[in-house]
Amino acid sequence: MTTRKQPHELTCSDPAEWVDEYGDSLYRYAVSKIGDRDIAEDLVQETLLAALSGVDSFRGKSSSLTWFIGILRRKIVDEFRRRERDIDGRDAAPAAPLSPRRNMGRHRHRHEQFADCPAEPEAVLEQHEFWEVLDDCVTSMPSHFAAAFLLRDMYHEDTDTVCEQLEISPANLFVRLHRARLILRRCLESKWFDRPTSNSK
Amino acid sequence: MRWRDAKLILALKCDESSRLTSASFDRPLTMVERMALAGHRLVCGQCRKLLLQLQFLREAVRRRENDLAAGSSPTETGVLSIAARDQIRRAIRQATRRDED
Repeated sequence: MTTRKQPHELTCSDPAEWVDEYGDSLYRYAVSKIGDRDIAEDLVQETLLAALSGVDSFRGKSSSLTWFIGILRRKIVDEFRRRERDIDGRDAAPAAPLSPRRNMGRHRHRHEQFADCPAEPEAVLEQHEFWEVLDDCVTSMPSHFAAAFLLRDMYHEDTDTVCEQLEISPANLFVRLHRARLILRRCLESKWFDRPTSNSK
Repeated sequence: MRWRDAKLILALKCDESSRLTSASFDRPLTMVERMALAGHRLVCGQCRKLLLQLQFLREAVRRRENDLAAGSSPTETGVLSIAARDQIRRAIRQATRRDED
């Protein structure tokens, strides 16, 4: 560590300036995943410190921000995994937010009420409020689903990599992703597509 | 064709259809699973809708991620507080100094 090379490849060569250059972008990224602003600030600090000690590994292939985001992404998954362990430690059988067997036995088309897909998805994606609601829904997801969802649907890791990182079987991963996506759908339904249709007879 | 496969194709229920729809984003479905899903979707409007909704959410999440990772965000989710900024700057300075010692 004593012979650390100067990080001349980075746009901002002085690490003291990183916080001004990248701090807000990293902070917004962290808030969108974690929700809690204090934790997001801690994660930004951890990211920049980790970057400092790993600056030799920066190859300049990606932009500096992409490199920092890569580090932050791992920190965020670590945060969710830590929470998951905390929950497991307190309660051996954490209550699942969805009870899959609830409707077994009397099969009907008992779907969640969910409005029709927006006729013009593009129009929805233009609205700022939509992104805020999406963030809200993502950050309120239980942590054991959030880690799988983040790695797979946000970071686009392949399933083998996700299973390895979370130390779970593919079958378990598919269950978590299924639940996570339905939770997100239900959350958006109640917070955004607040136009229940009654055609699910 | 095994009985289990035939049953899956002929009697796919919505919860199973939902599970397979989600799985189709993560792994190639087997021939039997694809047939079962296609048959079920023919008769079940809710499950056709589910596919569109999950595709929509997937696209939305992908876009949000790309925007944030590129440092551009259409929402105002705030900036680092001055206190946090100072604290981080101090931490970096300390770490740099330790490195140089």
